[in-house]
Amino acid sequence: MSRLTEREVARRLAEPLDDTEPPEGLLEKIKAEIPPVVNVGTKAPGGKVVPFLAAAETPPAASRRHRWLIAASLAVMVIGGLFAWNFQKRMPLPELASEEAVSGEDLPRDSAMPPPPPPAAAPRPQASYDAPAGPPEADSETAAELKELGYLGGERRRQASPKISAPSDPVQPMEVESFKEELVITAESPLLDERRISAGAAVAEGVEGGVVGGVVGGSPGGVPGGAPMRYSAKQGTTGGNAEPNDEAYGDVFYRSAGTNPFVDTEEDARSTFGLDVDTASYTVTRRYLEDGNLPDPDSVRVEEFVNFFHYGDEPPARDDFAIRAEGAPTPFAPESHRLLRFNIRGREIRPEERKPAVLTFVIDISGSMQVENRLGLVKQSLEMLLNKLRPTDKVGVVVYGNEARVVLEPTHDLARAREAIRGLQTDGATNAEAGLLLGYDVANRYFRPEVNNRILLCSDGVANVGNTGPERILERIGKEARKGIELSTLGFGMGNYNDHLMEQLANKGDGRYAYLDTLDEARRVLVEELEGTLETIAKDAKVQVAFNPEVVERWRLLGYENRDIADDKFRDDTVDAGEIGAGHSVTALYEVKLKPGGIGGRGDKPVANLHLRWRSEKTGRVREEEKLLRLSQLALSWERATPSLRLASVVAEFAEILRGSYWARESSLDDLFRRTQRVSGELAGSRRAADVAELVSLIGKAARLKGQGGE
Amino acid sequence: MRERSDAGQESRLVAALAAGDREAAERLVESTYRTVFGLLRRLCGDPDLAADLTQEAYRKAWDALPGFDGRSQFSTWVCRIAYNTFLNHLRRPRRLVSMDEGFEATVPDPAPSADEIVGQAAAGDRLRRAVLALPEDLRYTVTALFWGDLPVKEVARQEGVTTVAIRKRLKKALRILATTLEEDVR
Repeated sequence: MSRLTEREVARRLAEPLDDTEPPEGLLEKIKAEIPPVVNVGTKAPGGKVVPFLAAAETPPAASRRHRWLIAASLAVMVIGGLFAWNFQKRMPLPELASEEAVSGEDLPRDSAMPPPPPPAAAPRPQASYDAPAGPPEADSETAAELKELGYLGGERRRQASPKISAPSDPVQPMEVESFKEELVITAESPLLDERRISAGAAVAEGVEGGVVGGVVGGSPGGVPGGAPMRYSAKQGTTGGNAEPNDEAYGDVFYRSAGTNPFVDTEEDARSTFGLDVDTASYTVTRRYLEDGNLPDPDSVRVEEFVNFFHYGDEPPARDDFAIRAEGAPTPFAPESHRLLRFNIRGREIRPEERKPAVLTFVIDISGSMQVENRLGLVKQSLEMLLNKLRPTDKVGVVVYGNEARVVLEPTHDLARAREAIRGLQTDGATNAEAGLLLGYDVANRYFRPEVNNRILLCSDGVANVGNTGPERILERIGKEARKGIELSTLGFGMGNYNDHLMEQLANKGDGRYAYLDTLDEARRVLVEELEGTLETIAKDAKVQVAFNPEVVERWRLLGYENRDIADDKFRDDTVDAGEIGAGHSVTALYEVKLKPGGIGGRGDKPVANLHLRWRSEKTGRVREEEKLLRLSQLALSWERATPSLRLASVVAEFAEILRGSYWARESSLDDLFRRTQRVSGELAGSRRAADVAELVSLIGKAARLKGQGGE
Repeated sequence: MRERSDAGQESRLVAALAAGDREAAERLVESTYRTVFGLLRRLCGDPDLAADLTQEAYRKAWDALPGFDGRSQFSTWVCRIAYNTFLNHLRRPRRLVSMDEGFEATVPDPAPSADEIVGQAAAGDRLRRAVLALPEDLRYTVTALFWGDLPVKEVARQEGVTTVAIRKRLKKALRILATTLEEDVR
């Protein structure tokens, strides 16, 4: 059969239906429901009238303010123009034919724009910053905006402090100079080395995507031969997240999503991202260092380093989450800077409370799994897992090599499962797609809505996922996850390991991605944290932190680059965000620069307010919680900071140095080694002392490898 | 296909509405409701449901209008609300109902009745399903451009990205659709 062209699809899409005529009476019904008074948002905070249809009015202002962007946008235009030209040439759709390729109006505009309308049905939170009450004059848009920022409580919804300027005020003057300077630095930062800028398109997307914050951060993703794995749904505050090109998945093993920039609070006071509980990046790095190599900088994801460690934050007694917030000065940042730590700790469930599970192991037995005894580690790991399962759980086994086959239909008989796994042998090439599809077939046949249905993919990630690229399989994974069959990925091996693919698969499958470098790590993930690995307590969990522009001059989120969500999508519950397992702990770190005079005097002001939004698995409802951090809660010195914060700080700094972050350019592994040693000493005897001791040794190894002499 | 309400006209009506002219709301409905209905009709495949959702979308629009920032045209904005209304509708029954089941529930896929020209109807439905199975941003792009009949520039403006990005999404969406549909036929 002849191949269906894109053009043909476009034609079919545009084909009119026979009966698109609205039914009679619909118009009248709609009209009858128009309320007597319809309020329209036309005013900006401060009572200044924003010209309606601001879009048509703002470009000159925008280009004045973002003069720096013009240079970057030239790149956008050239590449975009080429792209569009090429695209139009190939597929002149009627709708598109009249559009010019790129106009000046296509400059990123969000930083100059008020946020788009909220999702129609999203409930507003009752957030409060306890801000001093101002005159009750704020109009509804101001109120809505401030409320979204957490400045305005529901009970005082028509009041706003006149002192707090809404950060997205479209007409407010901005500190152009500092902003400009920031960008210049960023653009010259060592992150933008040639190796990573595989395509100008990456920069272009970074620019067009880096909307709210306006600052294009560090190096947008892009590895030579990079692959478009992430759809660019999430244009937001950071650079990165670029899709370098449209090629099918190649031999990319790691993919950097760039480094978050500092953002002026006046420009954008909100930081929004999806939570991530993965820890694989840390164990991948550990594997590198233990083998005597420095890790590939692109494999280092700060948040996965930070989330590997436990910080002693208590889980909630009843609720889904407990939130903790603190801050302190750090030795590696200037005096005016503070490191803020937000911890979100998920509810724990006891082993006996865990829902029964139907687990389908999809195991890669291709030739590459023979290397380094990868399959052996898989077998041992899964055997440990089997020992923790209960008779109410079911286990099935699917393998793929040259072809996929069912080794064991899901059964309660765990002894048989053990035998089946022990008997596995490697076999030929890799057909991961076939393996996963067969796994889903099996899981679907044994699907029961009341149990935990999950596929565990064990692979070295060397996946020739068929000729069509990963989109289709990702599609399928997403669909199955929505249906209730989740996918977790367990990565093994090194060499030609495909970290990015494994992460994407788990991300799409609403599951966890862990890299098992040793049997100890397998024990940690599959035994100690089994409940968290198997049972999700919250879906689509996302965080929005609103900074108080009175106190915070600039802020920077450490990590979560590839979890970025547009600020205005925070309450859009259709956005896919992070899944949190039982007992999981997620830590977000921000480096903030306080305003001069921000500390001391003038009362105890709020610094930042965190909103957490998630869909509870228990009730199926979307919930929102918040946590306010005040100046008085910031420690006065590094020495007086809590051990948790100090540990988080050294972990993050380690990751920043290893990934060559611009912001860590003055840090040395040598200093870090000594600092971490002290932290380790303080934590001796705690639950995670061993982890921290290991961290010290890894930093030492990294320092030696970098020739800086760590010990 | 439909008369596209002109942008100037729309912004004048919104301005009039802001000034307290309630009739302007009626004019806005008149100029946009066919598009909204058409979009929902394509999305959910069922005219009755589409009519209900259209009503609901406008109810939400009036509530949300204080937050309307004029970045995009009213028609673009209301189409987005309609689209969100549809997605919310899918999620309504019960958390665990998958999107797929949701589609099934809203659009019972009846055994083709005798008088139904199986080919065409089925093809249309396959296309609809394929669109619904797209990732969120691609799905919205296709819906807005083809079924909402919105200009690329408007969609870009609303999404806060460049027209190039929208075209890129469209291209990607069409490629996925082509593959999916081809697969279905086999």
